[in-house]
Amino acid sequence: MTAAGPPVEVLTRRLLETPGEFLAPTTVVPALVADLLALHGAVSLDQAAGALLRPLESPEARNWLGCVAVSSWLLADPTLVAPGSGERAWVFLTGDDLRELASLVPAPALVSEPDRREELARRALAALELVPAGETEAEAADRLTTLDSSERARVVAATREAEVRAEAVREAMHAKAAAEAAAKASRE
Amino acid sequence: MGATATLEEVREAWTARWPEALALWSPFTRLRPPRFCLTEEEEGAEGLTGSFAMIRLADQRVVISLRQVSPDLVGFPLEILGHEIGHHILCPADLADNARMLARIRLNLPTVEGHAPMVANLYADLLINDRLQRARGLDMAGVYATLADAPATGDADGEEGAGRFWAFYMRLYEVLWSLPRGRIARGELDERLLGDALLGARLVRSFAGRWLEGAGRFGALCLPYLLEETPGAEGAWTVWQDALGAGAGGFPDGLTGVEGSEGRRALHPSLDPELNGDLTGPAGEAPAEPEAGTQGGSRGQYREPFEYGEILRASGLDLSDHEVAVRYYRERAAGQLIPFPSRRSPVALDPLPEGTEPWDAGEELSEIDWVETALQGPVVIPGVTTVRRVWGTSPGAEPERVPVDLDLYVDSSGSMPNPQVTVSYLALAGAIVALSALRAGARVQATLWSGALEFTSTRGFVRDEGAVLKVLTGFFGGGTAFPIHVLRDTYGSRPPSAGPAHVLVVSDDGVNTMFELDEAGRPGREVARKALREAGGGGTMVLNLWAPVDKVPGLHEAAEDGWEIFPVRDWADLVAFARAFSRRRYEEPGMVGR
Repeated sequence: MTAAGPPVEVLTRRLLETPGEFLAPTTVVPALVADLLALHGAVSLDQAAGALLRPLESPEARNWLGCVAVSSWLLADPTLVAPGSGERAWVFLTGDDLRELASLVPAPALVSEPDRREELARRALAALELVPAGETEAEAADRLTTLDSSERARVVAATREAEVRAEAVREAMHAKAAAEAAAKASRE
Repeated sequence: MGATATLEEVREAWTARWPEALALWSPFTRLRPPRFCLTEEEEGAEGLTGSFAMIRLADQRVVISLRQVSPDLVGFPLEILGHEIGHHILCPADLADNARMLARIRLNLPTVEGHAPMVANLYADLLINDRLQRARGLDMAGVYATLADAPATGDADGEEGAGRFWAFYMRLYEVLWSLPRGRIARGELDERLLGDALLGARLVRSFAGRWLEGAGRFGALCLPYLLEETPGAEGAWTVWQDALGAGAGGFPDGLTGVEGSEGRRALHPSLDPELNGDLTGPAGEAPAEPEAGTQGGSRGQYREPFEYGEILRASGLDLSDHEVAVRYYRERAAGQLIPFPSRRSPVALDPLPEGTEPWDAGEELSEIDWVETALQGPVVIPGVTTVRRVWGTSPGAEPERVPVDLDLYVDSSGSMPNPQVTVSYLALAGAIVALSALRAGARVQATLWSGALEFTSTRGFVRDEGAVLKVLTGFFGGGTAFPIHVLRDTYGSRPPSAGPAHVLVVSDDGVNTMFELDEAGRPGREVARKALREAGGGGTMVLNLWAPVDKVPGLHEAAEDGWEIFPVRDWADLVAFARAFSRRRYEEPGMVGR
């Protein structure tokens, strides 16, 4: 990350205003992406690239295409559009990061959930090698780690496992406390 | 304002910002100006200890010790004043919600319930601070950062050594406000702590508008840290405990009842689909059903008296078990008062003054005859030297309804539950009837009894609700010997003009000790029969019986003597008794019927 990008708030605001059509199942995602790449100065999609974005039947694939559509809307923000950034935009839209995010987050949540909006905005900035305005690279990286859905899912899963174990212990303690209270009451 | 400003200058500056702080919450917010303490003596007079600020819900007061405000915080008047106002406006806001929040949190802190007030305070702080930071643009993060950056003093104010709980709590703020990791959270931030902080931040946002529901979840989130916290670590966050005694001086109503999910332990947020839903994949996971055995606390619609007392004490009220029990049964009885039976008698055409009689606490103040009271003695002692005028009547044509006095005998032997610990339906039955009688204008004599010489009574027939309830909610837990001498003496010396009284005995099968010989060797049955006749208002036995009435020795004879017998085992029986009792009539021959 080297260049200064726009403030994150500008991008999250744009995501909040995502037109409903971008999340509609009838959206032709390859056309959206082609327009976006043209905006970023890249050549149009070839047939092989377009095939990557063909509508697929599985729910996971449909969700990923929804994420691609929302991301296309985001990357079309004037503060992100720059000549020569088309390749980085393409890599972001079809890369592992967005696929991983799509495996964890429903596409509509990228619009409706504040944290998910911020995560997508920060991921997009990172993919375009931009640092959010007003932040250092380290601060931006730390914040993205905090928001990272896969990291959050992993941490929360670990927390849940630990809690299940701890809860069993606490249940035993609770039962013991209840028994002691009952014994005290009967003594009194 | 610089760090060298005098306390008077700080007070003046902060006082000037008070209206602005009020407007943070609403342009219509009205709250008395805060009381700023400059000396330790002033803090002591206000009861401010531990923290540098406190709120009191009872008189809606904010108290701040400027002496204890760190020089680094002098530049945050709006943040601190706005925060304290938030406790009055947002959370806990009133005595009842404060108590209910504590109840939910206590239930989710098994074995460390004593930390509930502190956890409740921190939860309320989160809700208030997040609102002020994000919606009002205040620098609440700056307050915490200032203190986190301040060099540790080595005493309780230092952040170092504050433990994992405080690190978790600070990390939660970092997540909420997008602060870089370690900005205000100190110490090792392990994976579990990071996960809990994420869930905590989500909880604060998700339950901001229904914070009472989130309180139990927050308690569950804090529990693992509190269980492993070393003694003394809590000193680090004591300074923030500004709402610990928020309920002191007031009294929350309606707390005996358990509302909604209040009686159930909450799921830990990591197991709660409402909070971990989108962290487990697009489809989420099936909502986890509460495990068997996760229920705790009250099982029915009402709390037990001991639980009620614990919540009151956590609210900052300093009450004995007996005082708690009086309030508990008064509140539970209040919703069940019955139309107390009365007797019709001819009304006077002209009132005739007929001397005086003692005036008791609880009666109308306006009834005191001050001239006659002054003649009793130079010092007025309520209930002792106070008297009221008694008016006689001459018979007329129109009927008047005269309440029947109540003579109540409550069994407190070892076979009865202690009403201060678990709910006693018999004590509740007594409270319902006694309060109903007082409301109808009758006088009540209450006697609590157990073994021989184990009894306590009100001073005769009184109208003091507190005195009656204090007797009813006492406990001996000894042997069983009905105080037949009290019954005998009550009606042996009762003046004919006193009017009828109803004798109500609340007991179990131990009531048949009433029929044993009294200390003069007379058969108790004979004494009781005579007393019942002299009372003139009939007699009822409300008995906790598991065997049929006719199988209990002595009860058949009691019924023959005119006692009405109601077996009571649970709430439904109690309601049935109350209804039947209220239908009782006392008309004498020749009186105008109802």
